[in-house]
Amino acid sequence: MLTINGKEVEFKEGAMVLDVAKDNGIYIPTLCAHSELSPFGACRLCLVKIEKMRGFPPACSTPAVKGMNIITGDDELHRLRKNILELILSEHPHSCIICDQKELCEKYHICPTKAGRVTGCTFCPNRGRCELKKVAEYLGIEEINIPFIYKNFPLERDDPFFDRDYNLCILCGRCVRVCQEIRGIGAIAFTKRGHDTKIGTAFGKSHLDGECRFCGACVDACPTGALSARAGKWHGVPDKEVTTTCALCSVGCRLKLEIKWNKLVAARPDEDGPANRGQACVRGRFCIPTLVNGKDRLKYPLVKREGRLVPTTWDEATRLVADRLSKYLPQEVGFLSSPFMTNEAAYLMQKFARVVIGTNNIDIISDFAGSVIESQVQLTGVGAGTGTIEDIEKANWIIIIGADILTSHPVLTVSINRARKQGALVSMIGLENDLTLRQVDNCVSIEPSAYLPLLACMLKMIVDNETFDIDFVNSKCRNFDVLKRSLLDIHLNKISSHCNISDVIEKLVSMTNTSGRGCILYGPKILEIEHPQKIIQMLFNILLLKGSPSGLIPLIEEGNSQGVGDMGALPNFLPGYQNISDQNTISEFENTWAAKLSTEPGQSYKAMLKAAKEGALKALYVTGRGIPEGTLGQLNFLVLHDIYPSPLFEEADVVFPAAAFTEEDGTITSVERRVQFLDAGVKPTGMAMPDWKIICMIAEKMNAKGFDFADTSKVFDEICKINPLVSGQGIWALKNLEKFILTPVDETVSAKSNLVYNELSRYYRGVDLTEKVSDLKILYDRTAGG
Amino acid sequence: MQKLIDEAIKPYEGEKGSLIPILQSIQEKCGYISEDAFSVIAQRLKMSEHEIYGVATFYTQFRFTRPADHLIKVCLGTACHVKGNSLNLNNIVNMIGIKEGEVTSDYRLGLETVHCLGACALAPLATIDEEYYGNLSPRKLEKILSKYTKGKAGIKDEESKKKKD
Ligand code: SF4
Ligand code: SF4
Ligand code: SF4
Ligand code: FES
Ligand code: FES
Repeated sequence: MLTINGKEVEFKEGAMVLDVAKDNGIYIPTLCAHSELSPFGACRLCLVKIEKMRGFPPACSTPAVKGMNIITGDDELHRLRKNILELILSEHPHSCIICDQKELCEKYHICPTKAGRVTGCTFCPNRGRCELKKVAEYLGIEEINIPFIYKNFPLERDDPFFDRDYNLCILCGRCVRVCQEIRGIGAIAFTKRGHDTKIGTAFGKSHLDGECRFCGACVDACPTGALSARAGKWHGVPDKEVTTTCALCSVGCRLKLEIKWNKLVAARPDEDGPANRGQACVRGRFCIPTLVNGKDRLKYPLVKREGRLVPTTWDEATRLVADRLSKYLPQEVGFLSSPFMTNEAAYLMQKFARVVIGTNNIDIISDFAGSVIESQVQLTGVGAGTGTIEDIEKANWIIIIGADILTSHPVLTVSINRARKQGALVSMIGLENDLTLRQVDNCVSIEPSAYLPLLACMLKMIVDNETFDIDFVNSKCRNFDVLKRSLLDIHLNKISSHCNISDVIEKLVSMTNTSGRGCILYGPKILEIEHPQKIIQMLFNILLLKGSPSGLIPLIEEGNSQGVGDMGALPNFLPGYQNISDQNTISEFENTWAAKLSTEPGQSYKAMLKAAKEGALKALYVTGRGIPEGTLGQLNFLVLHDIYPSPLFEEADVVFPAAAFTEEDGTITSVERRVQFLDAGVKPTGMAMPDWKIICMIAEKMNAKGFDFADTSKVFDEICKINPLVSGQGIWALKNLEKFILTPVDETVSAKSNLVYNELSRYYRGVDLTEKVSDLKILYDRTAGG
Repeated sequence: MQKLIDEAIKPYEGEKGSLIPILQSIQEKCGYISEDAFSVIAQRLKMSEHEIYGVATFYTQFRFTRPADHLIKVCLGTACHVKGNSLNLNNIVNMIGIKEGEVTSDYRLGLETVHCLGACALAPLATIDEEYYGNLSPRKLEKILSKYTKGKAGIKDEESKKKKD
């Protein structure tokens, strides 16, 4: 209990005076405070009066104490704050703040070129969102009576993505803190002192030469226009903002799309996003507008005539596909779903394949997602990891294996940092550089071929030393004896000398001995060995032995392979991973869909490509790229959904222009099984349409029933009825997590497969982001090189 | 150099709070803290080099460029100024090709200006290292500087002569 402005209020332990004020709806002007960052106390705007305390303590960094009597605003404080802000503004170009024309100016840019740069008049890129201006308005600053000093720093714009004009910087330190505390990078710092103080890098290096990952967190944290994204810089205040979900990777960041003149101009992370809490990465923050606004986006349906693809109407294109598809035998047709499609589109695509064509030949275009689903179904009955982002943040130890997580899932590193701050120990297996070394406690740099021996040794050590969770294993796990027996053949010495990893195993095992929960994140590098499922099984074994079943997280790269799998776009599973060979399931689906279904398992992605090459598969319906070129040899009929011209055009007979994820409604499911909405920010480009609609139009042309939906929410309703996993927004729960089976170790030296997994984190629907966004290419070339 | 840096860090390995003593010890051993030194410290302390640079630049005691073997200080205090020392400064700039605050590319000479060296009677005045050169004229200047610009041998001679004295 304390008193604030004469009112008695409760407060949470550890809260600052500023938090208490906020919780009670009292506004205190601030500039350097930020809800996600540690208090800094630099700007002095938040000064308050507290009885029995000398001077004016800053609310943001004064802990609330029982019995305090706080005054947050009176004439004296107001005057004080005004003086302080005037001082700040005397070093910050401020015409845009005190100009009597400012309202008109923002709307119509009435005197854009007349004003000098130093006035800040038209050179602040941040007009729409300036906290400095807000505070100035609140304090009623109309003129500044202190001589103005222009710092005359050169504009820094040699780096990709964002510009820096430190003449506008008020040294609030938010950028430095967000980069250090939240992102764990520390690419910028306060340099020098006194009047020369400036935010910068060591020896004034460019950000590219420093360690910046261009996540944009600093840009979003900056209360002024000092840091600004270059693209969309001059669009001014957007006409509207639409919140949607980023589909460029599987983290599921919520993003605010800024729309001006019906065009997507920028995307910013949403503070309320459950997975990202105001964070994003270089792709989500900076690449989306360029990716979706390309001039060569497909705008019309195309059909092949005399060897050339020519534009046509939707009616003709869909009719052609309907006619042709009905001419093949069911087993001659195959469907390949893009892992970037919405749940609704994936659901309808498998329904179309099964109900209208009568085939189970449907799979996701993704090697990694395929392996993940297969192994996870074996382990838990559903094709999803068992962990959530909350599991990461609450973990006491974390292992990351086979992933370049800083590039592939940058926002997850934010959660890992949070866990680390709470004392979690983090080990990274497989990758080592200066930056990762700093972000983890222990780095084991080994080739994928050594993963399995390493994990086998870990298991052996855990079992031999009896450092596993005996209660959990006894009560919840079967086959412990089998596992134990299989470990008899593992000889630590032999293996560790073989892979030269003897000392690291001990380190890893002792880390997992820390009490509390464990979490393991595994990435696509495990595909570089012959049986990646074995790795996944061993990882789950470790978690089970440690009593942390809900800690396994596959670092799937594509935006919605989780959802596309959940929706049953798989050769052997119906929606919700219900087995195709189960008679009850089949008859249930036959009832709901009012159709006869084939119980013969379909062909997998790889098998379909092979069959297409050999001529057994005649027609292929593909909603994305990512198919190795030249594999479609004997194919008779190829239908494509795409957003840009692609190498597959040579062979395509019909191409439908698809909407990008910023242009469609629906849902996608993230790596933590979180179902979130997509909301179209803009209309699809040209005559493009969302995937689900295209499929429905073809079904309609084939006189199929059950494809008549007004919008995606109606499709989603049907999904919720039929899919036992998904029942609405939010994380769908894993059921049956009562009994687990430990898998025996059966091979200790794993063969290399011929796959090399390096650069997946740069594709959207098969479109190479670095081809569209040149700045991203610059960045990726650099990070790959260093 | 690398060895000196290693030596300086060794006693503090892995301790974050020990940044300042490490910086001090490197400066003592090497005379300045190089870019390379920063990345070594960063690696060892698991900190970002930018953070370290920020801390280091906050303190005026640290220098980040290799100091010149011989530092020329030209006085621009009142007496020296009145006696036309800025002309001498210009001459030096022309002769050795660097501006005030810079170091020649072979690190042999550095140039700084100061306000009053406390020997106004000798104005106009400059010092090179500990040596005072008063009543400077262009000709005198040329003679003095030629000792330093002639070539390595010249400097060595100069140094050995000093030692003998
Ligand atoms: S973009 Fe991200 S990594 Fe780069 S300086 Fe800003 S916060 Fe740090
Ligand atoms: S650049 Fe922006 S966030 Fe960083 S210190 Fe300056 S005003 Fe604050
Ligand atoms: S981390 Fe993934 S979901 Fe988040 S912004 Fe980046 S690409 Fe999008
Ligand atoms: S907000 Fe409290 S000092 Fe800046
Ligand atoms: S003014 Fe030059 S020595 Fe005093």
